Amino acid sequence: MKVKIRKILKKEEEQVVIECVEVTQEVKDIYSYALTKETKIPGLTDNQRMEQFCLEDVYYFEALDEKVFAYTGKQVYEIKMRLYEVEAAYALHHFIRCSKSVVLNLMLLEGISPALNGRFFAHMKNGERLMISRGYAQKIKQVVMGGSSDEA
Amino acid sequence: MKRRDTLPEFVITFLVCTACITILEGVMGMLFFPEEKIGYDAFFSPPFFGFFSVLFGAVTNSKKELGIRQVLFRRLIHLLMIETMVFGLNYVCGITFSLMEFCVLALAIAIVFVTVYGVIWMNDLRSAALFNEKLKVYQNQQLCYNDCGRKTNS
Repeated sequence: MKVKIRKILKKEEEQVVIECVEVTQEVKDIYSYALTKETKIPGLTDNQRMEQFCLEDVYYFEALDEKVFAYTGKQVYEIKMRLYEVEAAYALHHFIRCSKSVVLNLMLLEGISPALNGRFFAHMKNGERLMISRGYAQKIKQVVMGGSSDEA
Repeated sequence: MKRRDTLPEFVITFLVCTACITILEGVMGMLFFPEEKIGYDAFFSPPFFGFFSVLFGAVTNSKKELGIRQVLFRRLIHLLMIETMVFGLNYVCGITFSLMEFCVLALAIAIVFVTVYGVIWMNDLRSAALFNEKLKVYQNQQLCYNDCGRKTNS
């Protein structure tokens, strides 16, 4: 595959164009990666200051009392989105629902371990532990393991 | 949780449970009733108890997210239901136990109960280890694109 960089003058016209014969998984991954880079989200900090933060720094989104919070390694932001909107909008950025109230970043997931009642714990790279519900565990396995999820 | 996801779990639990009950019945029979002769119908006993034991497991399911204490409480209810079923059916069939036999059987049922959950937990552990391996591959694939992007830029 040829890779070219063409310089342009205006920042707002910057774009990534993928030319391909067929949309393969590889192309989808590149598309997904390009989307992730520099995706910024506005959010309210604890001090009620509006700030922009990088999507790839978010460990997980959590819905609490009708509000949705984004947890980065350093800060917690309140965002103006519903959790189902977060799930749909950032699915290509490796975000996936792991319980009714949490959408986690697969790229910042350290691993999983079994909990009681067929559930799993998700161990994030910052040391936090989240619960993966039974209903969502299967979908997460399918995304990460592809066709081999049945083996597990 | 979809039915097609629940069914294999149900079947695995049933098979493990039936195997454990078969062993338990064999050991209990040798210990307490070594002279007893049993017919072919006895072969249906382990799958029968296995099926209903797993079916009673529905009591541990919940649409809500349960805490550890809630899960343990429901498991205790599950165990009590199984114990009641076993002793109740034996009583209905006219089989009575001495206090010693009663205690040993109750304890053995509890051991089978813990063993079944232990086997399922071990299976989950294996499943988690496999997932963690694949997760690293998945993450490395994405990081590879990251590196390729940097090389192109430089």
